[in-house]
Amino acid sequence: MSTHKITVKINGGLEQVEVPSNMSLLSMLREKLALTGVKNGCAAGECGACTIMMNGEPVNSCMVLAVEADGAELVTVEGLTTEGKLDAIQEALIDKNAVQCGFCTPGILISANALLTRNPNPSETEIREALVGNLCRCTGYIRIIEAVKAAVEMHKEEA
Amino acid sequence: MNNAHPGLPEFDYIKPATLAEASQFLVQHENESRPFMGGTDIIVRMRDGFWKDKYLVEVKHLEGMTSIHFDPVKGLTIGAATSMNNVAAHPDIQRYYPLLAEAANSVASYQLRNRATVVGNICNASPAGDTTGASMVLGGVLSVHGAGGLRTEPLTTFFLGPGKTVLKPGDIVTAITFPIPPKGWAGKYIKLGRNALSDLSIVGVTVLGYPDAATKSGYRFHIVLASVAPVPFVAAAAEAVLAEKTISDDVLDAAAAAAMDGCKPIDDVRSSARYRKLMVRNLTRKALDEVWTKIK
Amino acid sequence: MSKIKHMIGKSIEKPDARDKVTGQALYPGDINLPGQAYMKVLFAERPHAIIQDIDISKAVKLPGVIAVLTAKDVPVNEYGLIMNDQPVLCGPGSKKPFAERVRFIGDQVALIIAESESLTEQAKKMINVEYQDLPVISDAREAKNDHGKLVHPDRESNVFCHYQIRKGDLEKGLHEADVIIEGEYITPVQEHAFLQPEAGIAYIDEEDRVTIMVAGQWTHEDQEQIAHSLDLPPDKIRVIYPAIGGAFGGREDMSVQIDLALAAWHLMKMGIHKPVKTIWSREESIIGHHKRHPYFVKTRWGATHEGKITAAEVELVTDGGAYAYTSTKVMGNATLMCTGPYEIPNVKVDSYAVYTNNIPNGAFRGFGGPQGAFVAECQVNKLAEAINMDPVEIRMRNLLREGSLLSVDTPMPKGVTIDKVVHKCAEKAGWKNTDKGWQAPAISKKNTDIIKHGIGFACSYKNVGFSFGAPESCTAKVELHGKDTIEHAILYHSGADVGQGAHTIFIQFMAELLNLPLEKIHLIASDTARTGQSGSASASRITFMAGNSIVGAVNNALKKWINNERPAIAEYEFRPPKTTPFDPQTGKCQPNFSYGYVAQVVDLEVDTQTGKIKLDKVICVDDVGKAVNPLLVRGQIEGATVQAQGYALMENFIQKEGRTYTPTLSTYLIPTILDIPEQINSIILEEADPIGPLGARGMGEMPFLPFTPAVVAAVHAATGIWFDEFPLTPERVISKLHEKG
Repeated sequence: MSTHKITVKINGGLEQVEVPSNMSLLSMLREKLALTGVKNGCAAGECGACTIMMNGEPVNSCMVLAVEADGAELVTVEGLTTEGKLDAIQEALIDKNAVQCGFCTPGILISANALLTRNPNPSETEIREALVGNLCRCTGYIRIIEAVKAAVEMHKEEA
Repeated sequence: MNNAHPGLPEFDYIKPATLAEASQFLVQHENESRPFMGGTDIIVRMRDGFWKDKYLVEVKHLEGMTSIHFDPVKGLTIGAATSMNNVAAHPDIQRYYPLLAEAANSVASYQLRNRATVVGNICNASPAGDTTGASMVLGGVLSVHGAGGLRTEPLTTFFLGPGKTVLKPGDIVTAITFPIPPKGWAGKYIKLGRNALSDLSIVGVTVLGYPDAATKSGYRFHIVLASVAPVPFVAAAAEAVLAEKTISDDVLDAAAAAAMDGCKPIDDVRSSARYRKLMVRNLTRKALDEVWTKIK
Repeated sequence: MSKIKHMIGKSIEKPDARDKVTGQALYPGDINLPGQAYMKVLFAERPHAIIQDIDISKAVKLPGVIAVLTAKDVPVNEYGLIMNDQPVLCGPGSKKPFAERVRFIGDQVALIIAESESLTEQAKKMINVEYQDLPVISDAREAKNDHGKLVHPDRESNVFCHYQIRKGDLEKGLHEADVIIEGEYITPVQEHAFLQPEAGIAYIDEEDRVTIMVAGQWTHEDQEQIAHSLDLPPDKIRVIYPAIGGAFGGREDMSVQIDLALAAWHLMKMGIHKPVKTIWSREESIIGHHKRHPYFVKTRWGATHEGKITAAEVELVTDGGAYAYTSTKVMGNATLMCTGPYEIPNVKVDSYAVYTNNIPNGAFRGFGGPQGAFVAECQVNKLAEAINMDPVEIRMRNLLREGSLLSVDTPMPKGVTIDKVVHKCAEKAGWKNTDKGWQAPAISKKNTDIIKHGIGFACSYKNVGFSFGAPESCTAKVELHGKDTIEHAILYHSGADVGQGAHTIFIQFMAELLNLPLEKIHLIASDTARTGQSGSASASRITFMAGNSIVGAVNNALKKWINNERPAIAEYEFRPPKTTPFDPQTGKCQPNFSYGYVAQVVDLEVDTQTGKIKLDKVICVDDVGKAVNPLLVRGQIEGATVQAQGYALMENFIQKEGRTYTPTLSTYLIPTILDIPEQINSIILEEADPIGPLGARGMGEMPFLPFTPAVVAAVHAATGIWFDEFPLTPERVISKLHEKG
């Protein structure tokens, strides 16, 4: 089986990685780059725990081959924090107790962050639609919706 | 248990420089290679051991594969590797082909729609494909690059069975094209799943209707049903009813009943065949009603 | 000083939240150790068979494979939380009688340990197992009476647990009734679907202990069961919990724990010092751990025209699956709770737990309570309809109150508040307490030909802590450091934080009791080498039990502090009032020492064309005694409600002939964010439990219990149809609507 040397821009830095053809982007992030914030909940595109940003859009990293990411710009949950300062959506999830076991949280954060980037003032329906691919078994989602709304307000105050 | 392992089986990832090179490779490795686009289906099927290809041939990067082009005369061309989200969000598609945008938006989740493609949905020939119905009623035609060069394949004759199509080794679908929709048309896609959005459909009903002087009723309807037959199902008997009889509530009822009687669904984990048939009738009736209200 | 007090009742930030939102929190699968090997399980993947032979010779020769373990490599090849009826590895060669049998698809046959994960997978395919298939026993009701086909041939019957309650005179009670409602109910299997599949890593620590980092619910029980199987003293086993990705009862029994320990210990004996890591796939998780018990129920209840319930007779049969797990305890709860939070003078209950070749069933939020509550609440709602009485009114006339006798003929522990909870919930939902009794609000939303609206009411009670004579205690150790004043305090506690926020609560108790700011409290948690026996994070017990243990330990430490001990170190083992098991003849017992109380109203609409049910609003009133952290309480109410929504409406676990057809999250669906109710109105009551820590009761399970019967009542209000079986999938709803015509 062939392997490929690829270069990715990840959370702001450049990384060169050698990956076999059959390695998923999820496995590469967790196993080659030690970005274990990216979670594996099903490896079948069903739970959303592995959601990351790839070239500005959220994707299930289990549904992407690592080799496809050659030249791509990636952001994982680890990349949401800038110089130790949490992003508004991270603060909001803490404030609203939208984090219970926390295993879905990295994926939720990426999906929510992507939503707020493309739509800074989403309706509740738009929030729900954007997060439908992120399963959470603990919270019942209500606090998560509250948190996204709070992050919208925090962004408004900053602006 | 189909799969107890988190990893994919071994294969090689091939990235050809041209379509010709890609087709040639696929021909040389007949039955052990396939074109690789969004991957959302391939990765799951490889992982679960249903597909055992030795080579996945990347085609997303090839010219035109991710472009969308609208021409007010010729119609719409969507590159085969264009993501569902890009289809759903494209202003020309929202304006001229809203049915297609709506169907694309009903697929799984936002992050999956960044990878999944309309053409992939069609090429997998899953009877549950959410965008297949819209593509069919809108008169979609596939542009195919094969070993013998370029050709077109209309969707009307594309599907042979579950997972089976007219595509031959070496064939790469490069785009799907749609003519300008008929004047005065309206369309509707109703998806019934076990949960609010992300599930595959139990039943999917696509209806398109428009005034047509060539029919006795003065209108023509196209109806395609998902998840009720081995391939996307054209409800021809229902279409005939609507072409021949002056449209009324009773005729809409009769058409919905004809759609139900014509389809041959199966039992699976999502639903029984019996429920599917009932839903075909109820949802076809509902979709017909919505379309009829708009075009009459 | 005084401004710091008030840590109880405050929604402080969870101490683990920052790590969780930055991706820094380490779950078992995120932990890597130098030189680690990987382990994979070979599952039986067949429901009932005898293993004639296992040939591992090819697999062990594959370069990079370190060891392949089978039954003969397990020192004591058995385990179980209640009884040791399950082989660690199925196959020939161990002393355990009948261990060569596999009894469900998730039975484990071999462990493959290799240098890489892909090698374990390759080697797994090279193991050749010769099976002789046996007839599959998949229907608990048939298996109950069939003594010819046994799941465990060393037992006389497939029935492994039977309880009975005989209170008063059932026939007399039925005779006194003006109406009798008979019912047959079936409740479904439910999968936990916690987001983090089972994983862990094992190594030998600096004190030669076999150490396992894993996600569980009860460190010391894991330790005990591992020690038994490895035939080692418990102190040679160390269990540590890092971040835990959800549990809900699904991590109460063993999954990877014994496997990992066995692997690390075996390598050590081979002279190989390598940590061993394993991560299960979602499919392995779904076939590999237990589920919520399905119940098959026959019942009849009688009531007078005045709304007095005179008699209840219930027969409960549950499918335990292949092994006992916690079935006997789950059945205890169901046996008690199937007659609801009502004082009924004449009660007869018979309950049976039965072995089959299905996936074992065990602990899951509510632990027999939801199944019992479904029966009781549906029966009461049907009685109310039969005598034309409001469902709240009939409850008010029968609810347990202070001093009421339970079906097991002993009084309720003090602090009964179910009437207050029902009152509040009814009021919030628009009921009026008139001189003719309680009256339901008129439905304001207009029905159409297609869409029908309805509201439904249900209430429940649920025990806090272990029941029926099970040993119950919880230990805390506190260290107070400083000179003149306490500068910082350390709490050692095993109580598992499965996501519910247990550790946040511990810290809040410490801060309040010691009048210290939060940052001066340090918690050392869930490590059997450092923290004492806490019991499990289950049975809604952690706030109550750990809270009481912390209160005791702080008090003891403060006494030492006053005596100038520096640091002042004290341990305290809290033991609640004793409970007792069912009397074998009458069922008489003191079942529990504390309860939590809850009531719900569900407002929904039914699409009669598709059978789809849309939840508009849920009102949940929950007496939690004292809301130590109100936002965490809300999180529990909302989370339990949505989990119950999945149970009631959507989650359809399909097993046929012992095989599962729903081993993925695309075949077994749980609610998404688009499915949940438009609104969940959580109302927290704080009626102190007399023996709760600072008044707190348990609450994690309670909101799950009344949800399904409230939905069923609402669907009945909307359509006129009673559903005695769920989930209420669109298909089930449509098929009943069609029957009705």
